Amino acid sequence: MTAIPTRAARPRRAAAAAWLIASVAGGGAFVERDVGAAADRAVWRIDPTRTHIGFVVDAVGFPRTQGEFRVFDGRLSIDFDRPAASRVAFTVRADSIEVGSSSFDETLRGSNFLDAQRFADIRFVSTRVEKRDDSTIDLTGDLTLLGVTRPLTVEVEVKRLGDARLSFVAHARIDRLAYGMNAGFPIISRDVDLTVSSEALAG
Amino acid sequence: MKPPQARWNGGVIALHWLSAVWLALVFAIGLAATAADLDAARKFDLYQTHKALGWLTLVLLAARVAARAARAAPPPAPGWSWATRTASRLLHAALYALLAAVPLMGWLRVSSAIVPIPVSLFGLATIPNIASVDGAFSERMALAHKLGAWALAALAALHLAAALKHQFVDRDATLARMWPRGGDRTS
Repeated sequence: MTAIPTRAARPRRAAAAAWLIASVAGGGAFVERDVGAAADRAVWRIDPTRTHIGFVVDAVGFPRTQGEFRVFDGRLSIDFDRPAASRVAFTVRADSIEVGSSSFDETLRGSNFLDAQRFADIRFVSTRVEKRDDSTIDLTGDLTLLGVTRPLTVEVEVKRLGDARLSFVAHARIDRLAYGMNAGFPIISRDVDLTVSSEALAG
Repeated sequence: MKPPQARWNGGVIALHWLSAVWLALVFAIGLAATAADLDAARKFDLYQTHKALGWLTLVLLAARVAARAARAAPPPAPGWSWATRTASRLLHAALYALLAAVPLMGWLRVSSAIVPIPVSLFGLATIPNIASVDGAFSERMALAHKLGAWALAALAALHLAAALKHQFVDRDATLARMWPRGGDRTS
């Protein structure tokens, strides 16, 4: 449990927030205007004890596989007045996958699937935030998996739990073939359904 | 005096009973893996265990063939008719053929499967694949492996029934020859 970076990373929070803002500004082109905008945005961090990153994959002739990623870090920079100015970045450690069987875990970490030795992190960095209604946003960003970066739209339900706590549930469907994870297709479905349920804390 | 020629040697006897227990276990695990209503993780573990133990039956079979070849077989029990001897020979030939073919077909099925999960001996060693990926071939091998396993189970049941018939109906020394500490019964 001590391996959860969110806890270990506290002293580096400011640096990480700067990294977040820099990285979402796109392609390393740091836009001066964003620095000013960042002042209005509140930085939130993921509460690891109340965060669950789960996935579901279907297969033919095999039960639906459900699992989770145990090690992750997420940062949100939210502007409630102007949702479009908000930013989200999530990093998940590929080798933290767990499906309830150590040999199954090893198989999924191996070179045929997540190839966690070569590609340690799975990253999502938002590029666009669109408010759909009072509680739902469409979060578009870049997902990097197996070293391949592709756009992904995530539907997020957000609920404020007071001033300093935020609850959200995000759903996304990932086409693993788009990232070159072809093993087992078509016996194993190309779609991986991802659900992130989390709470974030202000500051 | 024990008639030493009348019994199988200790190595053959030990390997025979070890194989019997081992194969029953592999069959049961295979059946559970395919038929039981389990979650993905439990099912995965059963399949991997079945693959490892199943592959090792080939090692067991090689050891049995070596042990069998090392010493002469005891003569047939007195009183076996030609028909009995022929039936016994045919049944044993079929058993040995399936003991080799069933795990081989399983290995081919795993090797050629679209889902690439080679046989692993409990993480200690990975067994190489012996066929290239071919989904249709793999499915044919899976079916053949399954049918072969059921045929092997049926022949093993016949083998057991015949042994019991020899023991309790014919009251001859057939089972005693293969029994671990039954040497005195042959006298």
